[in-house]
Amino acid sequence: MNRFTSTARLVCQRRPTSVAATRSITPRSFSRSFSTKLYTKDHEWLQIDGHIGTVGISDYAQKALGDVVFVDLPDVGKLLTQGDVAVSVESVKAASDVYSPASGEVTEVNEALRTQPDLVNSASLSNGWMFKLKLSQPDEEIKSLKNEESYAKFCESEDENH
Amino acid sequence: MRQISPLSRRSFTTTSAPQPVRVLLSKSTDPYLNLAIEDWLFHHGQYDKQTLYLWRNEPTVVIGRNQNPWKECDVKALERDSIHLVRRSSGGGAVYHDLGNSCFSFFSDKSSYDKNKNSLIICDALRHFNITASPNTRNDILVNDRKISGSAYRLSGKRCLHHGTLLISTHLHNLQKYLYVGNPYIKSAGVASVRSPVQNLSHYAPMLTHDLLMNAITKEFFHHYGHRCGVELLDEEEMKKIPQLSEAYENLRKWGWRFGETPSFEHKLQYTFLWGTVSIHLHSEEGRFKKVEASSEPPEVLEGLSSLLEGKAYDRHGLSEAMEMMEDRGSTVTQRRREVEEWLVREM
Repeated sequence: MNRFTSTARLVCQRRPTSVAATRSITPRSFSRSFSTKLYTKDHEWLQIDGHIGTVGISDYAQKALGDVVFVDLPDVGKLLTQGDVAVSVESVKAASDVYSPASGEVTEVNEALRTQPDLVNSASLSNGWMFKLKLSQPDEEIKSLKNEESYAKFCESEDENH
Repeated sequence: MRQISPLSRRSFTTTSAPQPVRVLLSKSTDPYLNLAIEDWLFHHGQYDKQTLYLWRNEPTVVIGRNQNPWKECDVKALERDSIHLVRRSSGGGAVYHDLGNSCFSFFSDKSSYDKNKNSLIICDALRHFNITASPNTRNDILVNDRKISGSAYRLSGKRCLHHGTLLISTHLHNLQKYLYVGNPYIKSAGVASVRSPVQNLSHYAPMLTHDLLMNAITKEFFHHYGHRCGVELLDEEEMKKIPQLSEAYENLRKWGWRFGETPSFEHKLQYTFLWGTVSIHLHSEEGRFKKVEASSEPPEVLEGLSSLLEGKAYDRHGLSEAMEMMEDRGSTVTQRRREVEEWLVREM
């Protein structure tokens, strides 16, 4: 009978303690760069904290998707190259690919999305993050990304073209 | 020249600028090949052209990208009756295909992707047969409140695919037989199908056939884009020679894609045999037994089963493999284990 309880404990242990999620305290000199997000033309964001990059999709993207019902996350340890398909998001009968904005190894995925995929809609820029990766060549790659301001302009031009 | 405002572009008048088109028709009815052709067009198609691909499959259940086959359909019946089970790359729910069901796929660049326009092309084609159809908010196409067409989408960067089914003369009894209303004992992550009352188009137009409808859709497609082209007839053997296509074909057939991509789920089962009660709580990840909580009265019947099952395929083959590896506890226990196995195979 106590197999049930022992397995329940195992299940709990399997949940990764989200160390990285709470580790938002960085040296003061970096605080400005930490809060900054960089964007791709495909509407992913990348937030860099030291060697670790956190990835999610923009508010513009979540609105375009509609209600997210499932997020297929990558395996921890997966090696991604900038532009690789990293995540598949399902919303309103559509499966949409999310590309990795940078190269590196996946170190953590947002387990909360497995049970609450709608976080992508309600908190796309914060709790709806998708995965973290250990960046392999951030200095090179961030040159191709947009800052908040130019991304906002880019979204405006996207709207005009539709 | 001024840009056309977003609103007027969405009104689907035929006055918009003509656009180059491409139409392909598959001669194959192999569901894996037809979906491989679609995958190849999605990745390597000509996005400077509006592309329409038309096809149909021999009897097959097609599930959505993030669905659970054990929750959505009667996997055992499919195996028994040699019906294919295929996982597609788009979202949405499970559908039953046979030669009485035709499929359409529209490929567009993101800047011109318009699923409402695509549905309008289908509805206009149905008008050729005096059928008045209209899309609902889910972009299903209905005739007299009955669904005759369902749609799903796949989006990747600039590449957009909108595909759908058209029930012409599908065996509706089989559709009902193979698709579950959703197994209530399976609690699954992923996407559940939305069930809708359906009807065949032949109910409204008895003479309607695949060829006639494909022809009408092609005509309407040309009309909406103000361009014509020859229809490319796709030959099965020629298609298989294309390396990226044959790779997609092999991947679609793999267990790892069809079952292994199933989102995690749990299945709780309990049964009282003449000799005692058995409770089993199955957890599955990637289509395999992950964690199994099994208890029985008396306990020796299922002792050791949990660890033997872990990692095996979530089906009767995986189950019987684990059962065979269990420690011998005498003929009475062996007989009881056999009863448990038969029950599980029935229920799973």
